[in-house]
Amino acid sequence: MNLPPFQHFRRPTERPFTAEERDRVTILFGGFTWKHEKLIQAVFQGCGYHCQPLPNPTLSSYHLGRSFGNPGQCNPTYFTVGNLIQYLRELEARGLSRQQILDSYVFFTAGSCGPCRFGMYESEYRMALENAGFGGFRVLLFSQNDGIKAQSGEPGLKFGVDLGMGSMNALNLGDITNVIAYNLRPYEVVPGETDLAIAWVVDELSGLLRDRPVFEILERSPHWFATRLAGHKKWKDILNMLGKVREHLYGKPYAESLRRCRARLGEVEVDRLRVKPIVKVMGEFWAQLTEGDGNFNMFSFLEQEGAQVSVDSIGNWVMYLLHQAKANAEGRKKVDAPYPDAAWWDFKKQLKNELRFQKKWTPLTLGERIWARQYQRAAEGLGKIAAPLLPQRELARLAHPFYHSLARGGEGHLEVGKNVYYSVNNLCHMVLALKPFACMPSSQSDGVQSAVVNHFPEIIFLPIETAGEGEINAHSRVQMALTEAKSKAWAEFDRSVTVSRLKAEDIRDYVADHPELRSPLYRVPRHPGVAGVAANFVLHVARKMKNAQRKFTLQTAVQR
Amino acid sequence: MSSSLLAGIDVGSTTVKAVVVGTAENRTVWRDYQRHDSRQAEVLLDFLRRMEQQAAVCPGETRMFVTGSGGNALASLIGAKFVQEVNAVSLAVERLHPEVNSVVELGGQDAKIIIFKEEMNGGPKKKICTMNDKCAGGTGAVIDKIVSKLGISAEQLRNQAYQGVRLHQVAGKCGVFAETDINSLQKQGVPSDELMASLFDAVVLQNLSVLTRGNTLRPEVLLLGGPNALIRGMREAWIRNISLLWKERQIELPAGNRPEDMIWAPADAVYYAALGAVEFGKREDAETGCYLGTENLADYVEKGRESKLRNSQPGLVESLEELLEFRRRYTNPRFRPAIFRRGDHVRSFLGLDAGSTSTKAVLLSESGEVLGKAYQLSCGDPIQDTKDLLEQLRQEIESQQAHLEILGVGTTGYAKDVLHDVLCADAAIVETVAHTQSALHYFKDPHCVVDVGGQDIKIIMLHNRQVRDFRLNTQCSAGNGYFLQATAQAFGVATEDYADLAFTAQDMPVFGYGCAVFLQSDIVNFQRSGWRREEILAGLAAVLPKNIFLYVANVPNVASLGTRFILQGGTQNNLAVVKAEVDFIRGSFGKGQQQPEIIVHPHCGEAGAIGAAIEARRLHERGRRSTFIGLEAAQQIHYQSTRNEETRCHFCTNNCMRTFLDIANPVEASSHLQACESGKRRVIIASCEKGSAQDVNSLREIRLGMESIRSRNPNVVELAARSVWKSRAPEVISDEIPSQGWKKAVNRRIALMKNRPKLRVGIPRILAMYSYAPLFSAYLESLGVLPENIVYSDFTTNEMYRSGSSRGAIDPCFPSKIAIAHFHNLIFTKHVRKRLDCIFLPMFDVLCSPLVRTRACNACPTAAITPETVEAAYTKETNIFAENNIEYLHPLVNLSDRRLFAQQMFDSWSPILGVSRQENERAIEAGYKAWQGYERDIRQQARVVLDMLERENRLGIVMLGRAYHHDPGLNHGILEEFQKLGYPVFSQNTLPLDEDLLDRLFGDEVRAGFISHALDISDVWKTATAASSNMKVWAAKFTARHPNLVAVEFSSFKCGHDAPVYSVVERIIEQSGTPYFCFKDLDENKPTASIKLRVETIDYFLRSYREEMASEIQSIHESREHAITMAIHATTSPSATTSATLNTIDSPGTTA
Repeated sequence: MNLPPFQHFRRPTERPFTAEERDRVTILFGGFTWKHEKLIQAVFQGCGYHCQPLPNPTLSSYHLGRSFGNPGQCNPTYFTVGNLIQYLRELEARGLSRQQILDSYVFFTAGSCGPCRFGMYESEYRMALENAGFGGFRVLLFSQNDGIKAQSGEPGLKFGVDLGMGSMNALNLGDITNVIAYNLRPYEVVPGETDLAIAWVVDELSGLLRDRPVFEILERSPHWFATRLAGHKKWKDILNMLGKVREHLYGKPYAESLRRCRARLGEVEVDRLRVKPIVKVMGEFWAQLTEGDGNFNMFSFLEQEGAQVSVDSIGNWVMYLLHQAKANAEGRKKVDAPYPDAAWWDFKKQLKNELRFQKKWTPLTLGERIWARQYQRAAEGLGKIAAPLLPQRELARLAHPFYHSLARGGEGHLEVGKNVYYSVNNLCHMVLALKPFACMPSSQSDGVQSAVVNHFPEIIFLPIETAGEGEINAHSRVQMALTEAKSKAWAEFDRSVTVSRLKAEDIRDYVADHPELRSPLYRVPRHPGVAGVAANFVLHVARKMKNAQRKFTLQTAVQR
Repeated sequence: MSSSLLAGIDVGSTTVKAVVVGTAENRTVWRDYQRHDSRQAEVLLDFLRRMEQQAAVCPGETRMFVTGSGGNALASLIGAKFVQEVNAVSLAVERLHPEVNSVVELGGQDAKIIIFKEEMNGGPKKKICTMNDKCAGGTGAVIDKIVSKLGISAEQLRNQAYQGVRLHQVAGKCGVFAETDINSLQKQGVPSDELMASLFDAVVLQNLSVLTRGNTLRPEVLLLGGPNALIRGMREAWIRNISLLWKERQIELPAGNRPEDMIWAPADAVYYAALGAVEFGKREDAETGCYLGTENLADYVEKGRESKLRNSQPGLVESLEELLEFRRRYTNPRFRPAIFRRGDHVRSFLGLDAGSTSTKAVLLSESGEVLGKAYQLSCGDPIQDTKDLLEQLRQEIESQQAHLEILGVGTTGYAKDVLHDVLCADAAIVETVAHTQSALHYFKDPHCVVDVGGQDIKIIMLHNRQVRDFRLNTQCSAGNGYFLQATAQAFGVATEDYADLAFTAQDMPVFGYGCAVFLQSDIVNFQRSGWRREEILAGLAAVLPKNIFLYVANVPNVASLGTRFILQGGTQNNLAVVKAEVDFIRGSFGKGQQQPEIIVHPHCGEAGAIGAAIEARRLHERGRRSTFIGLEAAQQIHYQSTRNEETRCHFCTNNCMRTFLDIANPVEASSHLQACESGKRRVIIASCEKGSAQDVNSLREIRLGMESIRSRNPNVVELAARSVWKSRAPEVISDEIPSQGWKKAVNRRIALMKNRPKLRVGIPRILAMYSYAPLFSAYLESLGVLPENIVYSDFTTNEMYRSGSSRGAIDPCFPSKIAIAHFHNLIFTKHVRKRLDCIFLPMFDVLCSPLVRTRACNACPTAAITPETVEAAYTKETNIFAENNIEYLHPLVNLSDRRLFAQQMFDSWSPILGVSRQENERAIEAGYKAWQGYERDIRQQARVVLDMLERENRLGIVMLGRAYHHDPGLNHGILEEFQKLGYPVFSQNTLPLDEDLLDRLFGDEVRAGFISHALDISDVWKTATAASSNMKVWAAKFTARHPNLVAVEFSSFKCGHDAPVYSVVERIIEQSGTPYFCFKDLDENKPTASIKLRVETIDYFLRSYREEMASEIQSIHESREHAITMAIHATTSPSATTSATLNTIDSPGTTA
């Protein structure tokens, strides 16, 4: 008698995405703002990939995600996977068979090995897709080679210099355009003008990233050199890579495109005398970034309620990751040293210890510098409207007494660090932390913030748990804190007017006579202890008026 | 514009309040307060019209300011300016009571706390405002719900006292939990006034522990809002609890003042938000908030609403034809009781179902037909309910001049045991079994029974008439029958009219499925957005199938459950619900698939009672003679229920409250009642067996019985939970104390070393300490700290949580939030008894794991950061650690990197113990050795038990839960319940790892190349990054492969690391045919009734599984004997194939 062998559960075999499929497979992705997504799409297209951002997730995506996922997940997962399933269903409705969908599309997302459950969501996506009838749909991960690399043969998605550095530029440009949009919109004189300008800018930059001539050493070098180099693959590859890096860092087309964008942004007229509280929005990565139902449409709600939203940048997150890697390397310096007990006079051993450390530390520092430089370059190129990236070491220092700066998971100490940093440096009037319901690190961070606000009583801090439901309650709570923030902003403005010893009408008249002051590209210096745009503007204009008055008096005296 | 009047209107979630103030005299000239019954716009319109008539309010003369949760959407329609309610309240308080430092406002759905804090530099007071999140737990909604359940009048409620009333434990976290507790207490005979007082206590504690975010409400405290203003007991509850807090936190009151002078509610407390809105208006310029009249609002009420609705879906029915066709198919014919002739002798079986919200009784004929049935909404006393129903049934029969004879009685439902004891019934069966029996009685081959009762949802999956699996809602009775009923009542709709009204909705809002409290919040949000009650009721009906199949059953693909669905339970009488279920189930089946057959049970409300009667009939058919006391005797039952200090059980340290039912049995009870004593009987309702003892002798007997069960069925989890805290007596490896040195550092070290034997270290008994305590205790002991000076906090108890958790600012999972209470225990109990020098709780970053090829071994971030949130809680107002001279050590530790861990421990302990690096290394070594020793010992004990199970061919239970679930306070004693039922218990952290065993279970797969090692989980789980989740997955594999083990998964509410592995764990176990059960969403609330129901159901299921297993083994033995006989006949040497087959059969791993 032969009993059939019992089959225990095994996870389904994953189908690879191979190079041979590149031309007929579309890479789907999402989770950023439309600005970031359009720019990233352009980079992928420029590198020869079919690429399509998913629509902005809505409440119906969330409901769909919940019905196919495990219970108890945090809502970014439900929104993301529900959005993907919704899109695949739409494809099906357009006439594609399930097999065609499986063959022609892959989903590309970020992964992690960190302690937050985000690291496990790849499996969650696959399971929800399977429950929805799309079993076997391919999910590729950014941080993990196995997902990208084909199990055999050439991988379908290959991270070369063009894709890598192009993505870096796309993320930076996305960040900066996003910040500019939120910085200008509350002050625009003609409603809708900012959005038009931003749309133009994103189109222009997408064109740049998509159509940028790809650097190839053999095409750019003189014929005699090219023919010699062609035979030396190793040297050709090295020089090609260096050339590409140089092109991405210092390329001319990039600078020219930024100049055109700057000019277009300069056309938006702004009224900086509108008193608006600045609300720093932070929190969990996805919740603080998404522009829609995923965070109760918080950005538009805040603007509608009369606030200026200070949005966060993906760049800050990247810099945080690099900083944490460096901080960890520093923390392990003694542990990893080949000679941990080397005496201070034993230079040889000390040197070896140092070399071991620098091997880890230097590439991270280089990465940090390159990213920061590119961000800075783009921010300056687009009119210096966007604030620079945050000083990570400072954030860690501020947060550490409350939240261990090496504790991992989610945003780690970032939320606490940002809350303190923005408040003590008077960069905003209120801090709003958006955290998905049951987000583990974010909830704990909120627990710690209760002590932070007691130690820094000037902080107006409001944590909001986002979920699929409860938008009205969340908005009500935001209104509660916003009223305080508005009072704070008005008090600050009134103080500025008092200090300037001018009347608000005089300032307004002066601005009316000086069109350059209505340009978004006009730089208003920040005054210590003053957060609001209007308050800083009043102080600046007052100084200008006094200088002008002094000059006029002097001239009159000279003429007499 | 100069206006002579200022109006402030507060449109809340349940009421509208308005004041009109004359600007000249600054005096209120008009005010009113009305409930709006979800008709906010309509009631506001009515208010405005009356204001116009009675207070001369008119456009051009009045400025209007609207506040409240429902005000935002309506303000612009009347030209008013909206003021957020917390700001409005604080403005009113600042003007009217500048001396007040704290405000607590309880609304219908909202709770707000405002703390005015003096600045150190003497500046203006800073306001700390908090408002409840989306969850309406701890608000007036919870009180409303229970008031409606208990049928308390408004007047009674107003005068309901708190002081001097006996309190019972009720969960205030959410209305659903509160309702569950109240239900259970009510069934035990606790009177309404005690229930209400307990609820007030729970609401106050909930707000103090969550909404204050750990801040202290400083005197004076103003109590505002409807519940505070109107209910005496609420105010008393605040006074008592706040004064206790003040005492504990040493808050001094102004001389000569008592707490009750400092915590008070003003006479017009309900109007403060409206008054605040007026205050706001006074500060605005004259052009703000100019009243436009009622025209726009009237227009909005009439027709403008639709344009504002978002997130809608079409109604339950698209057309009248569809509705008629649906009604034709699914309306059960009206039940007609059996008709008898004069003198007929009616022999029948009685089935009683004493459910959470109603009691049902049926009479079943010998052939299984329903002769009569009766239903009654529970009045909270199941005995009285039953007496009423029995009388009703008897009347039905005897009014036809027939004689009724009861051949047997079966009981089921929440109060089944009480009824069983009181009536001397023949059987008391668990509800799931009753419902299954009932479905099987009526239908040939049901595949899925969907029972939706008042409190519980049960899904029973069957195959070939055998129960294959089941699902029950855990502690949350999300969106069940009672919730629908209560919502309908709140809208002024009778339950019978629910469906008719819901079918009229053209569109309905989309509810998020899940927690009933969130559904409640959704209702409020939808009301605010303008949805009508019929639309909301339709939406609620539509969300129910999602709650059933997605939330409770977690089966996204309903088609996988089969094709014949039986809908039963009282809620299925609501056709709106049935329609939603039918559509949902049909929607899960593809076009090409066989379409489902969906049947509503003909007696859906009484299905459980029918099942109980069937069980009584079965026993009768087996020759059992009924012990039922008889109908007449039942009517004469008189009893007295006692639940007070005298009934408290003192047989263990828990000191639980018990209920005594002293029943006076009729002396003239019929002769077949010999089983029952005549005279007075006492039925004891207690939470455990020991509690049912009446005296020491019976206790001794019970104890002996329990000891015997325990020793036969060891609970390895309990053993682990006890032994992990014991000293492993490591060798002391400390350096010799150096002689006096000339360096300051050396002298300091000498002092610290000398102090080691005196140093007292407190360690909370929480989180990963349930695994790693031996590592840390051995580290300390090996350095010279005395074992008796390592002081652990007590085991988690509910009392500990209640007394120590009020400093918390967030609501994470229970294992994390209990940490604050454990610190409270260490500081305010242990430290007070004998001084502690430091408290140690490391931040576990990376853990150890025996598994191979995992991506990472991370600890959960919630657990890892808990020491930081504890620090925040104890240092936010004043530094409690410093005040008590306690050092708090909470280093980040990586246990899987020994060198890094050594560094981290050195950095942390060196300043306390004066540890040298070499000493530290040795202590780390001793720590790991002790921890490994503990692990080895506990796994060895588990191996002995497992071997016993194999030998005796019995079943054991593996608790798939984290190490902290070993804590009896966290696992709510569920594992002990299983142990009592005869199942030895293991956990994922205690399963044996012996090579021979692993080879037996995994060896074939390793050799076949599916996995690299027995401890490899990469074949089932790719993203193996979290240590405990990885271990859970591995333990699931182990259980799936071991024939004597079944799995019970434990998971805490909000557990982020468990959620992603839910389905993989379930798949691993279920694919092997091994039974799998789960207790998810464990929280601080202990849902005793729900736990009992699940444990009993699981036991029933496991008994039949064991029978099946035994018969399978029997058939395998028979096959083997047959094979041997055949082989002997065929040849003298067995063929290789036969030999392989025999080997396979012999292997226990394959028999399951």
